[in-house]
Amino acid sequence: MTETRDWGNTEFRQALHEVLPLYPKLWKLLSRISPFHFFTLKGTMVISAFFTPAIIWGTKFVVDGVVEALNNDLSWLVTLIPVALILGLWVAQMLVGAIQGIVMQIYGTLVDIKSRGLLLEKAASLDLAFFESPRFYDKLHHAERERWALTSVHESTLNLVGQLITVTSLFAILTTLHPLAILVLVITMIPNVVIEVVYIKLWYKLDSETVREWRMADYMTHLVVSREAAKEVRTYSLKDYLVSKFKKNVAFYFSTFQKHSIKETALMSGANLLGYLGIGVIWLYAVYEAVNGRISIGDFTMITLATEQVRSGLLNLVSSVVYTVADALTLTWYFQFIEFNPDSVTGALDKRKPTAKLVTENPVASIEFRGVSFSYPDTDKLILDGISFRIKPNKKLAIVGENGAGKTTLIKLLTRLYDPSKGNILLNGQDLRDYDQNELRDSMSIVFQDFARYDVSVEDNIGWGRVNMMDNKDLIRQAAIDGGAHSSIEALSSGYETILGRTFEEGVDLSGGEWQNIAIARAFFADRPLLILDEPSAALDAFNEQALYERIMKLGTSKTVVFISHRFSTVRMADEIVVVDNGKIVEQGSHYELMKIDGKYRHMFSRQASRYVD
Amino acid sequence: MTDRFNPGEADFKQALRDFVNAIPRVFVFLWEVAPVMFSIIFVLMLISSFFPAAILWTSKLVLDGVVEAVNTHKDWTLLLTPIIVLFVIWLIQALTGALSNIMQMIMRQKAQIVAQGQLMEKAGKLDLAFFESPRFYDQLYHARRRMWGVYQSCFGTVTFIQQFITLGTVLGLLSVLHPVAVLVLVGTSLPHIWREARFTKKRYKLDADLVRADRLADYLARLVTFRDTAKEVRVFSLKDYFTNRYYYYRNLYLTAYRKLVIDESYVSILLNLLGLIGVSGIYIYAVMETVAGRITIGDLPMVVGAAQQSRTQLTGLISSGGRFYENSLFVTRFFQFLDLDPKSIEGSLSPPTRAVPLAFPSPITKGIEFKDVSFKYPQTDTMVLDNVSFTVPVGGKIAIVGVNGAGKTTMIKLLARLYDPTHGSVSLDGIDLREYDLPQLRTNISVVFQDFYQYDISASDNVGLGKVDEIDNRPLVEIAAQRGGVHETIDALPSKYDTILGRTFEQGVDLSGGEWQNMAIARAFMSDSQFLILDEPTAALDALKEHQLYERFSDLTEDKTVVFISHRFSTVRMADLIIVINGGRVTEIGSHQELLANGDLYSRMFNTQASRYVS
Repeated sequence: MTETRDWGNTEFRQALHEVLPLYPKLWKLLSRISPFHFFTLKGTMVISAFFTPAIIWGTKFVVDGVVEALNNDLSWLVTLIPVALILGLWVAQMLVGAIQGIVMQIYGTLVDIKSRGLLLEKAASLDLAFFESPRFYDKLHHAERERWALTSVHESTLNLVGQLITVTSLFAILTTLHPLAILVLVITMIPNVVIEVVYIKLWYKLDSETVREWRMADYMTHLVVSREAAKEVRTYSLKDYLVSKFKKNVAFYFSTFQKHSIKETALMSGANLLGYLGIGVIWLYAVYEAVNGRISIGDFTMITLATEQVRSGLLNLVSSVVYTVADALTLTWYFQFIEFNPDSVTGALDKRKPTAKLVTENPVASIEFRGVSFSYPDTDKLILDGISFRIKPNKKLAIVGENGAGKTTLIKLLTRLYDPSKGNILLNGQDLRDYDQNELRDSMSIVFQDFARYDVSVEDNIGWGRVNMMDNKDLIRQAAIDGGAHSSIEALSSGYETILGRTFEEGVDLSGGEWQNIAIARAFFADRPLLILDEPSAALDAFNEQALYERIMKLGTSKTVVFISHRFSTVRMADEIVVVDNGKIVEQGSHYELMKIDGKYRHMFSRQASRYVD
Repeated sequence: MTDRFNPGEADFKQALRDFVNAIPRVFVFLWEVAPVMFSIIFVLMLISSFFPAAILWTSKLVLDGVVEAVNTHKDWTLLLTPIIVLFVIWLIQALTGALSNIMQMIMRQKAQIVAQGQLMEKAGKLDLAFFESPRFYDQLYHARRRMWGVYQSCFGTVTFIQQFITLGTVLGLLSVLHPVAVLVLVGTSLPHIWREARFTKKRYKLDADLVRADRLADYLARLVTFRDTAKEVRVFSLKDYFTNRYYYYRNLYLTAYRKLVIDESYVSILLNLLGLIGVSGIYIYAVMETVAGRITIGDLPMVVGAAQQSRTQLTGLISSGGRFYENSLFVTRFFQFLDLDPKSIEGSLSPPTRAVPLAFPSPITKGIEFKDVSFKYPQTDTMVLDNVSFTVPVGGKIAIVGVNGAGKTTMIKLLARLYDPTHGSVSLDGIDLREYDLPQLRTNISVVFQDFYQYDISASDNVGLGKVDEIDNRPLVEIAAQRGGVHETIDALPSKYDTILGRTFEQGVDLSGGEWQNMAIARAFMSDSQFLILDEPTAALDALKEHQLYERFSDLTEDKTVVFISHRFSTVRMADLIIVINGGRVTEIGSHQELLANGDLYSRMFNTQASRYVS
């Protein structure tokens, strides 16, 4: 919910404790983004806090000068100095304000750019395990959502300091009337403060109690307005149900909010009565003193101006403390993420120093899984259980097995998105962990089952397989031909320059099969010695599928290929087949070898084949 | 229509006009949200616009009284009257302020809820064509993004009126000094209008020029932080590239923006100096007049205060004028969406042909017939379906087969009446689908889409959404889950049917692709619909699960007419009638055996797959 303060589940007092340690971090981050803007903003904010009291103070001398001139028939020029002082203050106030305005606007944008940039850099440094764990991934989501508070907390804190300076100087002016004046003002304001604090806690509580309802309400809205759910919302006639759920979820918040706020206003009004009584008393006393000649007319003017300002200043101060704390609290998320230790994620990769090097000639000479076991972070279930096998260089290896057998996990380990919980994976006889991560990744390309669909041009979609070569249009075209995407690309309105997807207005969406061809083209464009494909033909028609496997087989001796498939028509083309069941390898061999034994493979193959053979 | 959402310089005037046109609409909206509260707030705001002048004037009376009392040694208690008056004004100001504040807060909440509700209602009424056209869907995106600003800008308009009245009254006080003072003040502030107009236009242009760069930067940032792309970003080592591009696009904006801000500030400073010279002149003149005894001492702070306040009000008014562009985006985009005529969207369903739509027949007697059906998607020229005719007999199991992009999914969309045919007709029991009651039609045709939706709500609700009236009927939900083959999966979840699925909410549990697919199938079994349509139901299933589905298939669909799409010929063979489409045309119809005997596309496709199974 954009509009509610997201307090989480902490108490207000605790919130304060959490907020204070954030300030040094905020200071450090903001000053690092641009020391010049940072300090200029601070300077101008502090300076401008003095203008209001100074102008009020100058007014006293103007009025006194005028009175003196009137009484003694002097020229108005006796007031020249105070008048000039005030005019000067006005100009200075305007200039400082203008500088502050410039700095605030530019700095705000800068902070926005850089703070998101830092977030990106951080996110990029994290291993896949982070993204696949809801617990951790939530941190990123929150950090992104609450990032806006960086600027607002900084500005409202500075504002707070400014208010404090203004109010203190105004106090000084008031003491010229009588030291007790301040006491009267402060005492009559106590009810205001008490009510404010009580209600802050109430609001705080209400917000934290209804976070879930709000999120639910938002999700209901999302379902009705999102493209992805549009078809089902219509075929199942869900609109009315979702709208009513939305209303039900916000109803409690709204009625409680209304109740509290009406009561708060009534109480505040009573408190205001007392507050203005205090000011009234001070004014009466000032009149009394002026009439008796103990203070000048100028003093009187100054004091009346000051009392008005001081009251609004004090009230502002109290409520800005509250809102600053509330906003600052949301920043916890941002800093937590920015300072997050990538290695603290359960399942983070081993970050040892690379000791092995890949030779340029035949970088993937042999791959061996040796007693590899794996369970996902924060789970107990062994997805892979003591797996050992070899991938022979320049051969085609198929991995088959039921849904959930661990095939995709195997690939995640091979591409080093995760490290095995036990055992090792050896590349050319050396543990994968001993290689430089980038070097390793440059030796393999992969088509995931849930490949990405980039809402950019076709060229970029394919080119992003190898960004340093993405300007080579001939290579991109060749990869598209190899990936089976070329003919559908040619049919697009702007060919290879067509923007895909629905993020941008002119975007064209492709069918599932066409997207899959693009993803395959991307992997071909990457052109690495090891090619890995996870169900690359799930969305392809029979011809398209056939063509894909023929091309893969034609890659012949130049590439090592590992693929997962449920379609045995393609599996049988592999040089070697590994059958995974319940995290273990149960069979291994060529199609003919596996068909000879009465095992899992033959069972699965026959099941499917029976439907093709009469 | 389009260019309005794709701002260019020429559209600045249009944006302004839109905003002005939206003002009455704004008032109607606020009135609808809470008529009484809105009237009260409006009156309170009007009243409070008089307070600044009243306070200045009463303060003057007090000061004059003090001066007089000092000079004539009169009893100071005479001053009680103006002081009490002032005190009362403050109090009323505080009360009206608090009242209007609180009402505004309540109303804001209410307006937001109402706005969100209206948005949902409207979006829910639009046909699928709206969602599948990037151009139209953009409108919803904008309306939703701006939704939270609607209230803000609505009341901005009311505040504008308030500021205007305050300005008038304060200027009135200033005229006590000299009518020319009013002219000086207004005259020195007017150039701000020129500045505002000039720079608003520039800002508008800057935004329009760089909107693409900005959206691209945003998109790239999402690629780095999204779970869906996390694997590829790592495997293809894209993170540096994306991050660098992000900075590149954002800095494009920054550079242009910085220049604009600084340019405007120079102009602004000069104009403010001019304004200050005006106020200073008034100040000095006021001092001279006071010393000359032509105005009272009390008049002095009043006049100076009035001059200051008028200047602030005036420049404030001018810059709120400049905010019109932004406001117009807030308000007009939201209202434009609400006002959207669903039928104006190309590809929308045609309106009901009869006053009382026909009841959906139960049971169906003749089945569904496609008669010379052609179809092209809105704003495109390609005929996706070209003169297609075939009949789906009651109780039949029909497979639709064809190469990628042949038009299979489109056929299903027409069958489920998510679109109407461009030419020809789809009829049920001999009567055009358009003549039937749409809600009834929907409950009688269940569809499992290829890109079915994964709801991040409880497992029970995930199934129950298939028939919302029965969503809390647990036994029914369990039966549907069993038929969909997802019961065991749900039973193994930590809180079984009450487990929250997906990743939107904490404690959510994610399922595998195959499990989600079964969930979608279970949802389709919630209602006892007469039609069941499945788009690639076995794509994510392994060979054994696929086989299990075949085994249960005839039991599950005994009483239903089933239409399904599949690339797997093992699945296709479950059908008793197969329709082959190629290039938008039906090229073959018949049973598996018949089509094999034809030796056409079907047999070639089948053999391509089958040959690999035969050693």
